[in-house]
Amino acid sequence: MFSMPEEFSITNGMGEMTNFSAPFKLLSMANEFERAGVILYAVELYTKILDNYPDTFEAVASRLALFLIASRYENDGKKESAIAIIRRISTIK
Amino acid sequence: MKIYTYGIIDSNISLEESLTGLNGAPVNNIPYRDISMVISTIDENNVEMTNTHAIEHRKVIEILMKRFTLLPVKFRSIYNRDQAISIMENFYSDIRDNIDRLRNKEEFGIKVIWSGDKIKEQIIKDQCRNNPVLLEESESQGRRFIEEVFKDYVIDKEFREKADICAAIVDNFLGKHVTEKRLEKLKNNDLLLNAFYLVERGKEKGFKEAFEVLKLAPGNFRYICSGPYPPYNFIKWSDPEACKQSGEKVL
Repeated sequence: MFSMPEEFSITNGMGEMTNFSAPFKLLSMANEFERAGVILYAVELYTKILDNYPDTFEAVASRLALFLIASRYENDGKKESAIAIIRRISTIK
Repeated sequence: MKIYTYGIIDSNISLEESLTGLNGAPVNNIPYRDISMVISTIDENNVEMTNTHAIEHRKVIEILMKRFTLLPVKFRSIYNRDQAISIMENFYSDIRDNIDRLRNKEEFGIKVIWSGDKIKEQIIKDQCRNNPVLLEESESQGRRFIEEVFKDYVIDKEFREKADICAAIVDNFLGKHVTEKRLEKLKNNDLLLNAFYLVERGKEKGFKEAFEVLKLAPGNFRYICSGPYPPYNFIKWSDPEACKQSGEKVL
């Protein structure tokens, strides 16, 4: 197999090639937290994406994730938490 | 004489209802131990299948799954009686395990559609902006080729990673209502997720309500739900190769 020219390899600490942007990395982390059940951190990161990268695909995905988290909060009886998230999604344009 | 098969049920008692199947033929069952294969006779000189037959097959399946735990067979499964019994005999253990595992459960299908081409376009634009070195004109053809291959690899990787995350967000939400799932991501650029969920009877209301919430969610996604179906996608074989060789087109 041929090896990539050096200038094309951009590696992180794990030696894995990546060209991913900051919002994508945040989205990835947020999703990991959500899957691990650490919802508060996930909500923070999703909100950060909406604040700092509002016109990106990552913001669309974050809005979706936050909406669904809010729905779960509502089902679990945590109405205030749900409302807070929905308000946040609505105010960030 | 040929028989047309609909599925295997967890009962060896003769079917009570006057059920008709393909071409109006009466539906009955061939028992084996505590299971039976549901069949109807078919004219072996006229086995061409039509849309009408598909509808008739579907109607029988819908009625059976309300009363029994049904392991459905593929449409157009035609055998003789000895073959039908042989299948139940050879795979009895697997059939029994599947029936026990899938009792009182139904399958739903969820499709999530996104604008894959637009997402890819945006990725390409972002790549151009953030990594201009990838687009430098090179002198040699070989080097240019490698540049292109690498560029396509990076774009495709990011596209797939984004798809993974979006699919995970949806699955994380719906998955709380299901007992088993099978996910297929990016069957094509626009079909982000093709998921099959196994839902316990009695909990399908919660699942459907969750889907209705999902449809209201913001974002440029389209959601399609189908079902309930019998558990086509959740039947497991201890020896899939043996099943292919012998049971072949059955389950």
